Amino acid sequence: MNVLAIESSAVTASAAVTRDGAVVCEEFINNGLTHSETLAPLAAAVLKNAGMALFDMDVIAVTNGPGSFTGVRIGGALAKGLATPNEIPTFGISSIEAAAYPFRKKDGIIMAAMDARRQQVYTAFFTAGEDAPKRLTEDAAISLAEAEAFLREKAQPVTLCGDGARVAFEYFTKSGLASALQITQPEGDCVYQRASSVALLADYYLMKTDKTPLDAIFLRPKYLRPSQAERELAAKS
Amino acid sequence: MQTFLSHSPAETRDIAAQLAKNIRGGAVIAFRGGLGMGKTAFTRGVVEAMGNTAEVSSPTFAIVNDYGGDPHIYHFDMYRVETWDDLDSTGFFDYLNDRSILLIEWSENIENALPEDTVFVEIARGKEENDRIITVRYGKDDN
Ligand SMILES: Nc1ncnc2c1ncn2[C@@H]1O[C@H](COP(=O)(O)OP(=O)(O)OP(=O)(O)O)[C@@H](O)[C@H]1O
Ligand SMILES: [Mg+2]
Repeated sequence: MNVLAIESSAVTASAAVTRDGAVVCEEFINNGLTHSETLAPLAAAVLKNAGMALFDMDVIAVTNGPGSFTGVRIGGALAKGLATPNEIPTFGISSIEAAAYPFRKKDGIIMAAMDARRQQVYTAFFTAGEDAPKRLTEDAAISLAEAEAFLREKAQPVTLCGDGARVAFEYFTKSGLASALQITQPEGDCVYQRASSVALLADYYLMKTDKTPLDAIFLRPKYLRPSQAERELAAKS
Repeated sequence: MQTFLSHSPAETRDIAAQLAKNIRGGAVIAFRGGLGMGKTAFTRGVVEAMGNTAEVSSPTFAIVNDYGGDPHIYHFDMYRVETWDDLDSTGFFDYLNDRSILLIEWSENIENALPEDTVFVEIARGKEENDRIITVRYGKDDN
C-alpha cells in the first residue's frame, strides 16, 4: 500500500511517502509556522522524489489534531484538496500518537505531549507496542499536575516526547517527579511528530486492523481545548 | 509609561513610527480606546516604520490581517471575539511567537490572554476634535 502523509499540527511541518510499510521519501521543515506556504510544496516534493504521482497513492494520511489551530486546519485542508478530486481516501492520525510512534519499543510509560500553554499539555500515555504504541489513555488536554498524578500512580520509567516534552520535563524536575522516577527526554529533533510516523501508523491500521479509510468529506479536525474555565477572557469593565 | 499628544492622524503615525523603533519580533501591541480613536491609524504608522509595504486596513470582518514581512506582522480586531474558543480560532495562539509582531485592536476583549510584556497603547480624546492623548505602557506592571 502506498501512503502519502502530511503533518502540520504544531510548529514543524513534514510530508512523507511510504510503500508497504517502508519510508520512500520524507521532508521536514522546522522554520516557524509557515505551513500555509510550505506544506503543499513539501507534499509535491516527496511525491516527485519518490518517483510517484498522486494517483499512485492508496490513501492520504494526515494528523487531524490535537495541536495548533491553524496548523491542523492547513493539514486537513491540503489533505482534502489532494484527496477529493483524485478520489483518494483519507485517514486521520492523532498528532500525539504520531509523536509517540518512534518510541513505541520503550519500556515503561511513553508520554507524548504538546505544549498547550499555561502548564497544560495535549497528551496521551502509551506503553510499548510492536507496530504502534499501545494506548493507555485517550488524547486529552490536561494540566501537568494531572499528568504527574497519573505517572506517580504508574510508578514506571517514563519516556517523554512531543514538542511539550521540554516543558513537561522542566515541570517534573521542579516538582520532584524526575528524582522519584526515571524520566528520559529524547535529544533534539526526534521529539517532533513526523509525517513518516503518520504514514506508517496509517499503513498499520489499514493493513493489520479492522479500521477503514474515510472519504475526504468525513475527515474532521479533533481540537482539544485546554481548560480556561476559571478565567475571564475580557478585562473587567 | 510615556504620554504623547497628537493633533492629527499624521502626528499619530509619527508617534507610532517612533514606538516601532523599539519593537522586535515577539512584541504584542495592544490598543485600548473606543471607536474611531485612531488604532488603525497608529497600526499603519508601525507597519510602515517596520519597512512593511502591506496596505493596512481595519480587520473588522477578517478579524486578523496578515501583512507578512520579517518580522511577520499580524493585525487583529478583537471586537467580536467573546470566548477563548473564538480567540483560539483566530490563530492568536499560533502567531504568539518570537518571530511575529501582533497589533491588537479592542484588546480589552482578550485582556487576560495577553502576555505579561504586552505594550499597551491607550488612545483617548483630547480637548480639540482632532486631539488624541496617547499613553504607552510597557508591560502589564507599567501603570
Ligand atoms: N490625532 C488623530 N490621530 C488619529 N486619528 C485621528 C486624529 N484626529 C482625527 N483622527 C481621525 O479619527 C479616525 C481614526 O480612525 P481609525 O480607523 O484609525 O480608528 P480606530 O480606532 O481604528 O477605529 P475602530 O474602533 O473603528 O477600529 C480617522 O477618521 C482619523 O482621520
Ligand atoms: Mg480600527
